[in-house]
Amino acid sequence: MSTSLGLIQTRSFPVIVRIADAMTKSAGVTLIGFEKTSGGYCTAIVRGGIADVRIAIEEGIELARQFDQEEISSLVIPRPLPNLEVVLPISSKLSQLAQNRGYSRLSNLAVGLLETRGFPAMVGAADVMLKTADVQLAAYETIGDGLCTAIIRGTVANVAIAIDAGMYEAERIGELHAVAVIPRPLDELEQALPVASCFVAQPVTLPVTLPQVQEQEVQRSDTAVGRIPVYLEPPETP
Amino acid sequence: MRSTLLASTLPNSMTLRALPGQNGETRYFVSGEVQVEAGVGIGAGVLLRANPGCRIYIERGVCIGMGSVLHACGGSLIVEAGATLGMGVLVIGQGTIGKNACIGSETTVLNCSVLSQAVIPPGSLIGDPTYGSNLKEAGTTQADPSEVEMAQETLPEPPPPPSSPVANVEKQTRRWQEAAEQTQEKPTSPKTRKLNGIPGHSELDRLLGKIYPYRQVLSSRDGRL
Repeated sequence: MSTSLGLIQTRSFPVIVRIADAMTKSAGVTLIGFEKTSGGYCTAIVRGGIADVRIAIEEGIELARQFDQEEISSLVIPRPLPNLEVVLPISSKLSQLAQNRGYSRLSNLAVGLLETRGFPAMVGAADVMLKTADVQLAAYETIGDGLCTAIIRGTVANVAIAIDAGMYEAERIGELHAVAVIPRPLDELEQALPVASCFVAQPVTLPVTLPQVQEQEVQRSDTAVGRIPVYLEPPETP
Repeated sequence: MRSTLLASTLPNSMTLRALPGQNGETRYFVSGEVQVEAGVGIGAGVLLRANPGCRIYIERGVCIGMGSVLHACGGSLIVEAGATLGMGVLVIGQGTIGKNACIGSETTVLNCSVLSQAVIPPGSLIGDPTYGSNLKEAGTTQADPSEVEMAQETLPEPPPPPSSPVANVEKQTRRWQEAAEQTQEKPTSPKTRKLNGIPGHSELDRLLGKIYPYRQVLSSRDGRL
């Protein structure tokens, strides 16, 4: 099964996440991930059938123009050769890797992104956002060129109000670059977004007693200590 | 019936007296020697101020719009019968506004007379452009210095004295509008303009409008939380 490859690049992380959201909802494409080369350049990578990829990339370009992005570059490759897939991070191995990282407590929530040029403005905006509405700061992302993005999660009403408040604070401290709110991200977009480790419930292996199922020569006990993966959530800190 | 309103015995007193209008609801303010005939319509918040030694006389059937200011200085200011002053008209100095003259809203009349039956478009500036400098040289009135400077700024190069005030209306209106445009451009700070151009801002605004239909835009635009 050969799948086509689509790439689109802009110079802002919230914008590329918003574009990726629109692309995954516009056609049957799979979001592989975001490639962040420095200098503020971010690329969204999608795979799928050629028709789907073409629709998705056109949709992405249209949206990028709406966001006044001057430097858009995009690419559709109908059939990339296997060598390309092995070397470049364009195959779905990346998302498999991401899926293995565990279960996030922040899934199925709206996403808000606020990008500033400079770190203090982002920290100040994140602080105000957390104090304004019932949202969680999921992670932050830097893409070079001084651009930092705070990623918040919460219900859509909370996220929208928080971003609105954070915007003015960021502008007061430094330079606001872009904002985006995604009311209902698809799973693959969620997997592609960074989440701080404190929100990720890692599988914890606990020793449990298991009844011995088959007779063995060892007859010292009829139970053995085994390990099975169990998902545990750490207690909520106030 | 004729109601004559004279200022208190002290001509220098700057106190303003609020007077009820004819229907008892609208209020206008009077200071100095101001004489208002019966049957005059005066809008709410109108300020009639006659400097010491000056007089304002408003004849029958005059209509003065809301928020207008009439300030007599350097002589008498007479508004003749049937004249209509629009909303927010500013009349400063001495002169006569002729019978049945119509002065558009937000017009400034500086120390000049308006012919009877004259029609002046809204937003005009008419009158003696050397008004401010005259005041400075003469020094007879207690005009606010900032006011004088403002008048000079609006008119950087005084044109030749108008033969008829109405003749120069168009030219001065244009200059006045240019000055108004310049002053309007100034207060829009670059920050608010930049915020509107941020990628995703308009989308967020639309989203917030859907979530909170009765939302008011945050007042912290100038940055203080």
